[in-house]
Amino acid sequence: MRGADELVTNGPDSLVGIGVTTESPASGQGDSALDLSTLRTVEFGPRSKVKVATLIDPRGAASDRFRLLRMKLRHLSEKTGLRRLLITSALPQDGKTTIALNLATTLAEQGARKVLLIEADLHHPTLSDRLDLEPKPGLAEYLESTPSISGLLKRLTPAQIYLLSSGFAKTNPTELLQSARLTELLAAVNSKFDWIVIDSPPALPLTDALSLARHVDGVLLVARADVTPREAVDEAIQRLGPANILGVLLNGASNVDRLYSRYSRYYNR
Amino acid sequence: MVTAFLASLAGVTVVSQIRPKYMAQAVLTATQPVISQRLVTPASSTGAAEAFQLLTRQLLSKRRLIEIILKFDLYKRERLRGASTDALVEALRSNIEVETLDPVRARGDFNTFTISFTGDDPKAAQAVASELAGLFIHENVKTREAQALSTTEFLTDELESARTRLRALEAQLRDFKTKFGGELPEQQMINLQSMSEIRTQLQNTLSALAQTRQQRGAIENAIAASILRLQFEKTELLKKLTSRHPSVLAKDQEAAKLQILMDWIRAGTAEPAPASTTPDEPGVSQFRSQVITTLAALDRLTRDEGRLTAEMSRYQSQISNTPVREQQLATLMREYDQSKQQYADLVGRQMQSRLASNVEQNQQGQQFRLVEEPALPRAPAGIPRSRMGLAVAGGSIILGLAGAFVRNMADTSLHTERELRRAWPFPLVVAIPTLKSPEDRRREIGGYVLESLAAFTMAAVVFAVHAYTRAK
Ligand SMILES: Nc1ncnc2c1ncn2[C@@H]1O[C@H](COP(=O)(O)OP(=O)(O)OP(=O)(O)O)[C@@H](O)[C@H]1O
Ligand SMILES: [Mg+2]
Repeated sequence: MRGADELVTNGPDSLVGIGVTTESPASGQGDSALDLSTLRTVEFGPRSKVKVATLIDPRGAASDRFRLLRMKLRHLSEKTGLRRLLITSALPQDGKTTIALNLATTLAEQGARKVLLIEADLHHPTLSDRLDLEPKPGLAEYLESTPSISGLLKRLTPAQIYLLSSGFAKTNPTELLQSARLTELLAAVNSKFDWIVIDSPPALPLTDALSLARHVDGVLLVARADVTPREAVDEAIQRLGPANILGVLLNGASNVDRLYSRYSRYYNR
Repeated sequence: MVTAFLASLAGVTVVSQIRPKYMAQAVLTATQPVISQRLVTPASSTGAAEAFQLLTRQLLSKRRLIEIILKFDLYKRERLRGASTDALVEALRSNIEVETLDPVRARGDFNTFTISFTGDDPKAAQAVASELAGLFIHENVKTREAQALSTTEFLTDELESARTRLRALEAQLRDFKTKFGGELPEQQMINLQSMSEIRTQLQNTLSALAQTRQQRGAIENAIAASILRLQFEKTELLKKLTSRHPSVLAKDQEAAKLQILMDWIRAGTAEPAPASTTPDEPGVSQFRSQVITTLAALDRLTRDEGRLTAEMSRYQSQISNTPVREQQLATLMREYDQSKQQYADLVGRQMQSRLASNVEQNQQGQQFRLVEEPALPRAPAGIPRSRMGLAVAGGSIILGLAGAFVRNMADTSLHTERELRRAWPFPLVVAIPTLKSPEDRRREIGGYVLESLAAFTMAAVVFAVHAYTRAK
């Protein structure tokens, strides 16, 4: 197995960090007008259908797995400065959005860390609807015209994360994601957050994930247990470049619960 | 799971509806022919196994089955309900089973087999089974007898037509040989020899002919010279004598005779010369005999030449026709030989068949013997219904498992964290379980309860049905 350093350090054919890694978090080149304390706070709507493990069952197996993931990511981050993550998967419905929201929430540690979740799936945005939030402009509008980011970001409770929802694209989303404005956006928010998690469309049918991968430090690939064929995952890895991939998350794994429950009774009394 | 239980309930219900069945069976063996098969090839070419099949088909003929249904008054209920004859026949057919017992069936020389009948009533079952066994034995004897007889008949007919064919071919061959005798290959050598002989003869004849023609010319000249001499002598005599003088007249007469001979030889015909009225003078008679000999020789030689030339060309055409005749003869001979062989075979087979049909008529050939009379069945046949119910339930479970297995085979999806680690060398591999809200959990528990309830109900129903059928 390769060392984590090697993975995140740019190889000759690596896409990771091209264009943005040169800007350090402290350089302050971003939108100096962006002041997180002034942002609107919105709450999950009453009909929110989203399941955030650390909120609904903080002592459950799922929350535990996300904490494990957080620990591993932090470990990598200390060694390599990893801060921007792209969550993608080979196929639709693998659980990218669910995992991105859960991971962002876990990384935020009830507000101790500043985490930005960017919904970059402009084709099929579901998050606002699932959180039962009022539809508001977001990433699409930023990429198309709106100069300031402050009006688009919002703080989300009870997850304690910052959200840039997808908004509504008027032009071709795939082309939008290739615009230089995306680089500007990442530069603007880079210094303000500890973690930036980007939710993306599936990698096999679309090239969006590939464009997005150029703006992050690492890619987490989601595979739906018992559903996503191994060949599809392989293909996605080849497309994104194996060197850019931090790891694979097996979503909806069935035997985790059982394994965990043996100990949970013991630890969580 | 619920589906599986529903399926097994349906199965059990069906099983409990089945009326009890009784099976009676007769055991038969096929015995060896008494006379060795080496001496007499069995008239029927069928071995025991084939005999079963044939017989079974005969036994289960529609006519037979209808007879049995009427004789034993079977399927009363169905008949009352107005079932068609075809349906009844089909039902009976499906209730009769003929099975060989011997694993040595492949050898086909000895066989034990059973005929069984399954029916609603034990007594009827027994009766039908023994009827069937009887039919089987009887039918077989009849079939084999009939087979042997018809074989003999068939062979006799065949033999007759083979004989006619052979005769015709014989005649054809004879004709051919007489017609083309000289052109057959075995004649080739003789033909060539004869031809060279004739050629020599012809050459001799031609040279003799040339010689004779020369001779004829010489005789002509000689006659002409004689005539001239006679005219000269006459002129000399006329100087001293009158033309009426006998000596002068004699010269004229001699010259005239010579002139006739001259004309004759010139014409070259074999026709006899006009006879002279007076005796020939010595000079004339000498010439006359010469002319006659020469003309005769010429005539003979010319005829010889013609004959030899004709013979020559006849031999030539015979020689050039030989290859064609050779082929024609070969074809004819082949047909003839085949026909002869066929005829010989048929004669042999007819003799065998006569012998064999004698054997069959005396029932010394292979036949079936009853080993075991059908007994009166005591217990219902088939798998006990309780067990059948279990089998149905088990079957549905196995089907379910098989389905899962098949799905699994086609499935290349990922299942465990370990599988992922093995597949790719990434530092971060984390399995995340299905997220469940408290509401999901409640629903899940409800589901378990529902399934257990279904299972319990099924078990109770199965038990009740079982108890009910037992009691009945
Ligand atoms: N671990 C999980 N536990 C329970 N439900 C899950 C889990 N992961 C995903 N789901 C459910 O599966 C469905 C699809 O998930 P999600 O929208 O996150 O997938 P996606 O990959 O973002 O899909 P898309 O490609 O359409 O964006 C949702 O209904 C979600 O609630
Ligand atoms: Mg999504």
